[in-house]
Parts: sequence; structure tokens; C-alpha cells
Amino acid sequence: MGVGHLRPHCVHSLPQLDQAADVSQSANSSDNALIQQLRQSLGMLQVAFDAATEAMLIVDAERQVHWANQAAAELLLGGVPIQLANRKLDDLMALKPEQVDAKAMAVLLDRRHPLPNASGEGRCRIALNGGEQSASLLLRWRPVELIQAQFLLLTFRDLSPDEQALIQQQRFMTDLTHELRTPLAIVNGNLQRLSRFKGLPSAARSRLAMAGEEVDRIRRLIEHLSLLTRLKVDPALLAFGEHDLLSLIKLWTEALQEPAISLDGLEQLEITPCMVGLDPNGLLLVLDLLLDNALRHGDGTNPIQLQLRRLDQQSCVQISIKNHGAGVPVSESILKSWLNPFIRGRLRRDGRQVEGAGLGLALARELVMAWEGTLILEQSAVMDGSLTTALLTLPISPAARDGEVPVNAQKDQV
Amino acid sequence: MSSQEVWTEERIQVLREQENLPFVRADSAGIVQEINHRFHEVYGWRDDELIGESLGLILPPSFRDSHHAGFARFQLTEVSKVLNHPLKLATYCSDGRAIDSEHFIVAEKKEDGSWSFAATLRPLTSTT
Repeated sequence: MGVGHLRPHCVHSLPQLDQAADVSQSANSSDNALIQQLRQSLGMLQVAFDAATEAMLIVDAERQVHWANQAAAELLLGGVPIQLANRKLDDLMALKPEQVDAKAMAVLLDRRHPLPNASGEGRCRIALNGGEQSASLLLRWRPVELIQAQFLLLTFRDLSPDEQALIQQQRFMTDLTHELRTPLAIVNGNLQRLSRFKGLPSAARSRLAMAGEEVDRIRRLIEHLSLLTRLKVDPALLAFGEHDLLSLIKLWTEALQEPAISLDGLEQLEITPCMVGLDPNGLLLVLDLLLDNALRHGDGTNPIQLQLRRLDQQSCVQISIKNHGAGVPVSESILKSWLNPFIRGRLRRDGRQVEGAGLGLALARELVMAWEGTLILEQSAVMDGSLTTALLTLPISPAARDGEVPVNAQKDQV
Repeated sequence: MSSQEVWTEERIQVLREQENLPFVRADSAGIVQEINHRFHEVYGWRDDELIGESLGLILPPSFRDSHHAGFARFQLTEVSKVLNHPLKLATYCSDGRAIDSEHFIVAEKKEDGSWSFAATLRPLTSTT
């Protein structure tokens, strides 16, 4: 640098030539120092990335590896990062998604699709070219926008002990549900056959009815526990879509055989569809669970109240289910604890009620959380006892907030 | 594998002479100091094209980031996983072709604390 330009001007002057040589030497020395410094920084970065337990890869739109750390090289070929350079992802591995919503993950390796422009994550196994398969891993992807092109950063990490335990629990529950379903159906069938016998003493008939209710309770307990566990592991198992909440609630209320329920606030919303993102069957289950809870703990005289309110300022919609009960309101911490599994509130005991499984509210809350909503319980004192409100809040879909109404509004068929 | 394993220049010498393998040697900064005639025959590089240049030149451009990062890391840690065992890598020819080759890289720490590196290469595809 510099020397070539200096020489024509100083060719007749030796002192000036010496000066130019000094400048050149000094420039070279500062270049070398800079290179040394950059090399050290690069080395430090590589040390840090190679110390990471997460496998990291950067790929281009052709799914060709541009950069990888040591953990990625060990995971994919038991080698060193330079051996991954330029390799195509689908030559190295296949992804085996382990969650229901696997569509986003499926395109990550498919070079016919553009790189995703949003981050994401999911559980998967990796099938290597040698036929080996990894344990369950958490795959995260994040777009990396550089000036010259778009890249994608992929990271793979082992599941934490908590995550592994949750998956084991889910597998155990799935197996248990499967194993118990058949014997329970046989017991239930036999109880029904026995109850059809003529001339049974009323005490025996009563005991048969109780046994039938207990069997039904066990069945519901297992199903709720199974769904609750699956939701904890994979909230995406719900069929998520945009639906008009009003028409879903109408559908639900029309199918109700419960006379002791009063509907409030539904008529005012007739002209404004409330589009929310949820699983329609999941919502019907939530409403069933909340109503069941209200009936169990209600006083049996005042009707259960169902209200729907649209809160435009908060861009959300609220469903409340209220019941009157005996006794004074409980503390906020006790109310919160009722949303946890196997916690039961005070039951109205009249000899006809079967105790709930203690999972209804916990399951309802888990479902609502999967739709990015909230479920809380409130209580207030009223003249003859307390008023309990289950308050379900769901965000209104962004398109509906802007006044757009999807064409399928009001047409929900569940 | 740690680079502190026994320096095998003699082994390299034997390999170079017995099997007439392409050979390259670089200094602690990764600057090429020597190539043998077989290296020139297989990969096309002449002394004046390669000696004094970075070792990265004999790797395809897309491998150079990884090479420089690995080299910089070695200078800080003196630990490497590429030393003392065969490593399959593409090798860049002077005419721009890439030939898959098995690299066997060794490193020597001199008395003054600096390192030098040597490698024999075995082309895995036909070079004719």
C-alpha cells in the first residue's frame, strides 16, 4: 500500500525514498497488527461457538451449509465443522418432527421452498444418512438477513430433563388411556345390562347407578388427564383456525339440555362477528367444563349466567360464566389454586352430585392458554352467599380488529 | 484429538517418499512454505503461485471461512480435531477444480513456541 504511489515523486531524492520506505514499513506493521487482532477475535468467537452444547448451522436458500460449529459437526457426521461446509442439508439428514404442527418444520430442508421469514421451534429427531436416529431434540430456526442474501440459523439442543420427563409422562398417559379404555367399556356395558334387569331392589339399582357414575368419572378423568398432558407437551395438537366466537357459542347453547342457564349479551353482538383463533371443538369442551363446574358449585336455584363482551380497546373478547354459591368468598390464592389439577372447591352436596375429577378447570385453562387467552376465577360476596365468575378472555384476530370479516364467518360447523 | 501428540514429521517424510503423495508445509501463520513436485502434478499449483500465500488457497472458497476460524482457534488453544487422522476435504486446484482428497495433517511446536504444519494429501478421485 502507498509505496507505488510514492515512488514516482521521490525517485530523485534518497532521503524521501527512505521516508517512503519507513511509511510503508509502518503501514505493513499496522496491517499485521490488525490481522493479528482480527485473527484473535475470530479465534475467540470460534472457541465460544465450539464450546456451545447446542449444534448450530447457517444455511442459504439452497439449504447449503455456510457455517457450523463443532457440536453440529459431531451431531451430523461425527467430524469437524469444515467437513460440513457446502454440504446440502438433505444429504446430511432428514428431520422427523415429533409434534402435530410439523408443516413449518417440513419446509426447512426443502430447497423448493423459500427460507422461512419467521422464527420457529419444534421437537424432532434427526435421521442421519448412516441410518442412525438421534434422541428427541429441540430444533429452533431463525432467519438471518444479511445484505447480500438471506440465510437461516438452525440450532439443535437436547431436551431438558423437565421436557424429557413431560414427554415420558405423555407417553405413559397415552398408553394408560389406551389400556384402560377397553376394560372400562366392558364394566360400563355390564353395569348397564344389570340395571335393565327387572325386579331389582331399589337399593341395588341405586348402587348400580352409583357404580355407573364412578365408571363415567374414571373415564372422564383419564381422558382429561391424557388431553392435559398432551397439551402441555404439544399445544399445537389443537386444530387452530379463525372462527366466529358468537356463532360457536350459539351452536353450543342450542345443543344444551340445561335449562338453568341464562344468556346475556349475545344479541348485542349479532352484527359484529368476533373472530378469534382457536380450535372449535376445544372451545366447546372448555364451555362444557366451565358449565359443569358452575353447576357443581352453584346453589341450584339461581340460573347460571353466560355473558359475552367484546372489549375493543383491549382487542379481546370475554366470556363469563357465573354461578351463585353458598358460603363466603375464598381468598384470591385459593381461587388461583382451583385452576390447578386435582384441586377441588367446596362441593354442593345434595346426595345427587358425583364429585368431579378435579381436572376440569385445569384442562380448560390449558386449552385457553394454547389460544393465547386467559382463564381466571373471581368471587364476590352477595346477599345469600357468593358469586363465582369464570372469566375467559381471548384475543380478537388481527384481521377482525381491522374490520375485515373472513368469508367463513358465521358458518362454523363443528 | 489433541495436537500435543507426537510430532510425526518423519512419518510424513516416509509417506511423502514412499508413496509419492502430494505434500504441503506451512508456518505458524498458515503461510505455505513448501510443496513437493507431486503436489504440483496433482493440483497444478506452482511454487511461485503458492509459497508465501495462505493455506486457505488450496481449499475451495466456501471452505475458507471455516479454515480461517479453525486456524485462529488453534492459535489460541493449541487444540485441534483435524490433526493426526485422515480427513476428507475438497482441495482446490490452480485451475479452479476441486478434488476430494484425504488430508493427513500434523503439527510441530518448535523450541521458540511457534508451530509449523505439514500435510500429505491423497486424491480420492481420478486426477487425470
